[in-house]
Amino acid sequence: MAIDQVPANRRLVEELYANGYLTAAARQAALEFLKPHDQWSLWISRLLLIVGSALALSGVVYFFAFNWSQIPPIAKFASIQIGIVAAVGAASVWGFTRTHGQVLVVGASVLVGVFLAVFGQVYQTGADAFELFTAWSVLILGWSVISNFAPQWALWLAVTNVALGLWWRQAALPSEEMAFLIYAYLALLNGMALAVREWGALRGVDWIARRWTRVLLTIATLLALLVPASTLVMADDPTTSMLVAGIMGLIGHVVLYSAYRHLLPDAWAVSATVLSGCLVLDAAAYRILSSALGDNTAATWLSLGLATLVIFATAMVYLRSIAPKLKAAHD
Amino acid sequence: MKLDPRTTVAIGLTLAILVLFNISIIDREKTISTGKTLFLELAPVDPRSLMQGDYMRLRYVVEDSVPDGVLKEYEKRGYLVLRGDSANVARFVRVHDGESHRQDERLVRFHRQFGRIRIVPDSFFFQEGHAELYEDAQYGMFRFDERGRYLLVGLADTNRVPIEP
Repeated sequence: MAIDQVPANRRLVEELYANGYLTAAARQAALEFLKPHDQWSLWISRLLLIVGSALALSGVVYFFAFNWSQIPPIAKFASIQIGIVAAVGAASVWGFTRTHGQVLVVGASVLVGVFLAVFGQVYQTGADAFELFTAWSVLILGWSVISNFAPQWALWLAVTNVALGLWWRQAALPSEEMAFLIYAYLALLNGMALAVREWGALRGVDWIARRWTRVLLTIATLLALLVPASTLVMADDPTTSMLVAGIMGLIGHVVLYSAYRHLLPDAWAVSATVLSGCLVLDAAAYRILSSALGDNTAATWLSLGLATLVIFATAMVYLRSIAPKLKAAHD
Repeated sequence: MKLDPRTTVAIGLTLAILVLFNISIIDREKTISTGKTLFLELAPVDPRSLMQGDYMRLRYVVEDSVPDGVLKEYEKRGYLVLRGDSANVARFVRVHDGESHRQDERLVRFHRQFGRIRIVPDSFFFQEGHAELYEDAQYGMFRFDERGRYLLVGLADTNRVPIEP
């Protein structure tokens, strides 16, 4: 490898220093160049901004929960609305494209949820919680679109997931035959969000390309695929919806695997997908072993333990073997 | 001061949200202040708690008055027609089938899953720590306005006196 192709990183600097090729001053200068010393202060200021906002918001929520009957409804409604106006007002002064403004819009979005929860409690509409979450999702969608802020979208997606799940249970009222279809819907919602994220990242949209957005969306999508897939392999007499959602779950694992193995090489996403696939295999192993060994539960669980070891050990060996290739492709 | 388009849109959206909020509040308040009261007798239930505070799951006696076989397998939602007796306690009249109903009859929405009829709202929220106050609740107190919209406004004891914290 030519010298100008060797990637510079902290490890290389430390290795050169340990072997005596660099003086302490040169090591310091190299590290300063790689990671400027004031980087941590930016990081800590972001962290404090986020933690501070989260604590302030949860303070508001707990204040209302604890003083429920002392505060007249009109005061509850008014104070939350004033909070929303203050947050959006301050955000427009700071600018919606800057971090402070964006965090304030997230705050306003949480307050919309607080308002709806308080509304549901004052007027006792609590039974239809799906209406609350659907309204919340719809009302903050506009802010999300103009926010260009990944945490805002993460909040929107979380609210929408809950809305979808509650709608299924409380309004769609599925028969037992159709009950599992919700996982197909959830997988589609989160899978589409993941696809949009990858598309945006490829087109150079900076704010969506942050690493954590892929991690979060991959986990959300995998969960919605894993549950029906493992249920399907364990079911003796699967319902129609179990078949549909389960097969979708199995195919989804393959799609995610090939996407992050070949198209957008990413060791973390491949590992997550493979480990989720291992859980499906484990469910299959349980099914095979328990039907083969029947009543002998001790033998079933013992052999399942061994099968689990084999499945996960094989996965680990495989992941270690492909990790260097994925890393090289990623760099 | 000239606003950039993003700010204009954000402020517009905020105003729309606030207008919607306050219309909903005025609407509900109107139902409460002009509505007529009807008591729905409660079937025994356990108080349960959830993260957002305390609430009580409600079941109504009138849910069990619907005769078997009236509803077809596929009928998962609809309206029950109720009428208040001399004490304003709701009695089951029939399942609503789109027909026009009498002035003193009230329609309440129900869901049906796994063969069980559930009138909504089927929960009542109260402040953390007030559970024992509501333990002996005997009636759910509803208000119906002239448009037929209704709200659960509180729980009442055996004498149909509202329970206040």
